Amino acid sequence: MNIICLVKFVPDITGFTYDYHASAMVREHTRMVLNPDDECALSFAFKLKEQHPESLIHVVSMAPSSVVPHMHDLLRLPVDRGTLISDPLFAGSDTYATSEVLGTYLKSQEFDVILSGSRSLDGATSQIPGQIAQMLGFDHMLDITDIDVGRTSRTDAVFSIEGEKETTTWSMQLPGVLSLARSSTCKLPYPSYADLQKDVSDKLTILTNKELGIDSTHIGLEGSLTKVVHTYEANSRIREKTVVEADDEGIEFVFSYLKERGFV
Amino acid sequence: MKRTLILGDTGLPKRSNDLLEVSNRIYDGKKHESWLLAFSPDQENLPEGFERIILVQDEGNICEDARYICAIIMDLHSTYAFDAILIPGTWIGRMVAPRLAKRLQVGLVAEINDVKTRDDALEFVRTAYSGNILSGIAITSSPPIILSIKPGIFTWEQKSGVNTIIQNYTKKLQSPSSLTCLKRKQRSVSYDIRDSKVLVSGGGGAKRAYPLLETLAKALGGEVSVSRKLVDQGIANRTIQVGQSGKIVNPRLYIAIGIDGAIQHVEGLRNVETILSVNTHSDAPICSISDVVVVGDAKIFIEKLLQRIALENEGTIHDQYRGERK
Amino acid sequence: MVRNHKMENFPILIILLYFFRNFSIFIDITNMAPYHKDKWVKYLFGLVTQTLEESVNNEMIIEQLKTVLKPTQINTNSEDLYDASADRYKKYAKARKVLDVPSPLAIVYPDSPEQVRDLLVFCNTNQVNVIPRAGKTATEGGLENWKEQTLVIDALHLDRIINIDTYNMQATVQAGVPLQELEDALRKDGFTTGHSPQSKPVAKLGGLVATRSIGQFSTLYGAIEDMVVGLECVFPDGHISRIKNVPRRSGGPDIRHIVIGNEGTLCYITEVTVKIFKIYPENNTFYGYLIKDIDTGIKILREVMVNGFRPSVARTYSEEDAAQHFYHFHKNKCVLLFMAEGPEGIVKATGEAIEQAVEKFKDGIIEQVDSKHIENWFNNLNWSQQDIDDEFEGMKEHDSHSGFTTEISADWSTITEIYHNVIKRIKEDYPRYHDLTLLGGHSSHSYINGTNMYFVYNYDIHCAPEDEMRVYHHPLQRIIVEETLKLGGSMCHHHGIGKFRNEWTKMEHGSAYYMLEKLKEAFDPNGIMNFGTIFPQEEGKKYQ
Repeated sequence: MNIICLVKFVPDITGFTYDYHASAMVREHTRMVLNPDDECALSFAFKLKEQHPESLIHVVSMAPSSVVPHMHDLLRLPVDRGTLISDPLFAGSDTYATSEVLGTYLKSQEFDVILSGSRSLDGATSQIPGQIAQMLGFDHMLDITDIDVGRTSRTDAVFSIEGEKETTTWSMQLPGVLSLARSSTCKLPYPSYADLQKDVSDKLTILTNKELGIDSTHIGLEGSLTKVVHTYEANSRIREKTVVEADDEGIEFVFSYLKERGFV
Repeated sequence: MKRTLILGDTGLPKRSNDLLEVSNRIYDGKKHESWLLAFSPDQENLPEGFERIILVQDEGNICEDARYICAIIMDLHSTYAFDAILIPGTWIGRMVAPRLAKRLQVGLVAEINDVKTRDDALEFVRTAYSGNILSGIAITSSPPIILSIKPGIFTWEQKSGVNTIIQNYTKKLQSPSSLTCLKRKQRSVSYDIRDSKVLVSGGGGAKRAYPLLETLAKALGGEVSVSRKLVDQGIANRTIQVGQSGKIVNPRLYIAIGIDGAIQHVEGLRNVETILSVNTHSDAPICSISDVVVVGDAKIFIEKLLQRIALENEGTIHDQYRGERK
Repeated sequence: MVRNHKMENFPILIILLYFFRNFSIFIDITNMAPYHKDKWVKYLFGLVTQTLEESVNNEMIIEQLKTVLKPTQINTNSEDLYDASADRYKKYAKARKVLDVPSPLAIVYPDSPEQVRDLLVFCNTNQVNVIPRAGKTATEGGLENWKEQTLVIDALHLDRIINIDTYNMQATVQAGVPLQELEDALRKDGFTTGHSPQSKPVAKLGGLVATRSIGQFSTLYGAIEDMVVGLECVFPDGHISRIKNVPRRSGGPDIRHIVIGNEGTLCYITEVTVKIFKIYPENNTFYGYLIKDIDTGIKILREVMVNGFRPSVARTYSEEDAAQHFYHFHKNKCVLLFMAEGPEGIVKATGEAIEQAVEKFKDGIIEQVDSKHIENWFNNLNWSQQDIDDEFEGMKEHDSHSGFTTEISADWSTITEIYHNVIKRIKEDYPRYHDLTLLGGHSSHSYINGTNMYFVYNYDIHCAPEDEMRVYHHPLQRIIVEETLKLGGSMCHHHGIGKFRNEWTKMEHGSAYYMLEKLKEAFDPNGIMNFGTIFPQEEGKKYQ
């Protein structure tokens, strides 16, 4: 099988810190990590490759060039090639413009299946895979928790989804887009000690818009159809802490608090 | 007059009208029409408050076919030209919204939890970085406005009666989708706290109340987890332990009952949206990272909260009964 | 004596053993020409015979032990032996069951100095490596085993508190007495050892003395070397030395220092006498501040120390390190904290001195922290056996672990320079910098002429568990050690050298290494004491 694995590197939110004096999130020390859902997607790519040893895994990411060391780390695993789509012109792209860039690139590629994560840790809006599926005219499924690699071939995929109430098993014709949800069982293999230092730069292609040739009005800030106009901190835990007693009044507060947020 | 289309929530059809609140906020309370696209085999279960409900008789699994739903919305939009299309941020909604936005070539703000107006311009708010950051987002493309809405955030209250026209959608479209559901299985009771959305977690101070944790967890649609103390004392199994030596969890709601909050425990709470802690001391370390602190006895708290939830549920049953008679 | 069985084969077998232990050999002989096949079969058969041979020898060692000890004093349980083959240095590989070092043959539990003597003489005669052990909280590989034939001599049964003499303010205990036990016994009557390392609930006196341990209150009470009055120890040749308990003497070099910090490479400690102190817990006073940078913290620590005051705790933390220790109040700033203890007048004077020092550098102070936070933190600082077991379980569960450290010391004028150089070099040079989840440090033990720096670093592990140390910890430690030695500091403030800093022992001591080497030659001429610890060994490099 020809597998394309779409991955994103996201800021590690555990490294997020809050500057109470400047009332701002300190992001300069933030470290990038492979988005956990995407890690699951890649781990299923490896499982598919185990089942179909002739498979080729191609990891594709759109990101600033600072993620090159992370791409190299992935290429030290059983990944056959990597493509990093990176151009300052893409900076500021919203999901619409991002899927435009990725979709344009993917149209030029041959593959049987695109694997991606369902949600990203930073945005968590699950838009890119669906929009890419739309651009390519493929089926797409979100929140997949397991791929039945034995029953998956170049023409059909079988997978299941653990919903809140039921587990459903599906089949889908390929090519198509499968988005994996993070689950506790996903784990990437380790590179060997010798491979840790291996130069894998020849497996990585870095593409700019020069190669892709997308109309500059369709990318970056100009190509975006949404715009972040205001950012503020949601981390108000310490400031907004409400203290109540375990009496009727307190319970009423807790109850409405839970109800407002849809837990009751 | 402005016209909004709301995609029905197939999981909780009666709650589909919560999205009316979003529509109201967009049009700032000004008169506008709201339509609902619903998939329902029975007409009894339809929500109130819509000017029009377009009812798709769901034979097979249309309500689980994102491409089919997109096709219906596209078809309706070509006739009725909606100004806004609101999609619930459910599993299927999260597949429909991006496709639809791409087909209509408009911007999409996904999983919003607030609508604001700033300098006469609409701003849609969503969280990012597991709730650490809020972004106010403007849509720069021409209408329709497409949004997906985080479930459980908005609630709509009926102010005046609306006459609802129910219109059956009879057109048979060809779904391009090859998706087939092969099997459905009710989820088994065993759970992994790493996948839980709601955790009711007990520590040393919840020893006496331990059997009640599960009752509360069930009432909130969640599961039970514990801190190390209860594992050490042989009360709970290590598989449900949160923390450095246990599991790192990321529920939306974490209720810490009788947990002191040693750093090793807090380590396990990296991506929790809301923390509610119940403790006899308000200066326990866990309290400083809690959104709500309840000072008091664990057992009393749980019992009282359960009573309050039970009271609410009785009310709901009562409402439904009334609804059926109407 | 032990190896008299087929003695004539012995040299050949050793050579085979050498090859066998160094290479994994996978040879497919199915398609070989008959001549070669025959040769290989003979060779491999030889290897098997040799393994059998070795096991006979090992069994004979155990048999010999039974003539010295009761069967209950000899532990050959394979799980315990696996556990004894490494310490906290390779804790992650250990938890994942991928340790690359050999297990010891047995753990033995002598119950008298005479039994220790018999065991050491036996091992010395038969070239059996000895790892002395008491408490098992070593972090630098001091308890790791690098030899095929090793006995771990554990002080488990040397567990008697011999005498608590409150008139002369000293306590005598056997090496296997847990510090906590002694401390509890003293506290009952209002006394303390003044020694409180994080490992207090687990660590034992013999181990603490052997590794030149330090405690959290060292700035007032001093480190273990300031507390030891006298001791008893056994040398490999069987000689038992007792250093008597006197307030002071001017006779010759201070021979206690041959024993304190020898890390089991010269002798086995069986008994120690330490000073004790009156304790005034009701006078304890805590101070905490959020500060601009670690440089400010160091300046204030120095101010308090050089003015002649001795708070029991004087610490300053970098932002990153503060965030992991004081998550409930750090506000992402550096933290400075003090504790004053002792008689009322001293506490008062010390407190005033702290406040004056803080006032002097007030430009660097952001705000004072509720002292209750500091007090709470201290009360929950120590690691129990449960914490250690839990950490172990945690490492099995996750691909990351926290708590790797390298501790160095230097004088006041260079300590911050070393700190900044290290952080800068790690950022610039370390190839897996992108896996670090935390990098920072704190100073926690101050002296009139300088202080220590405890570098801490956590990381996500993206390599096989057995490679973790050489991919992550060791290269980081190398940077820290090199930067420290470059500016004249000490690479090992309080964890000892163990087996993983031995490559720098010579650089640490420079021309004075001569003295260490002579001690080793004199007391352990056969090299049976804790092979690879402190003194670098070519043969041990494969495990480093």
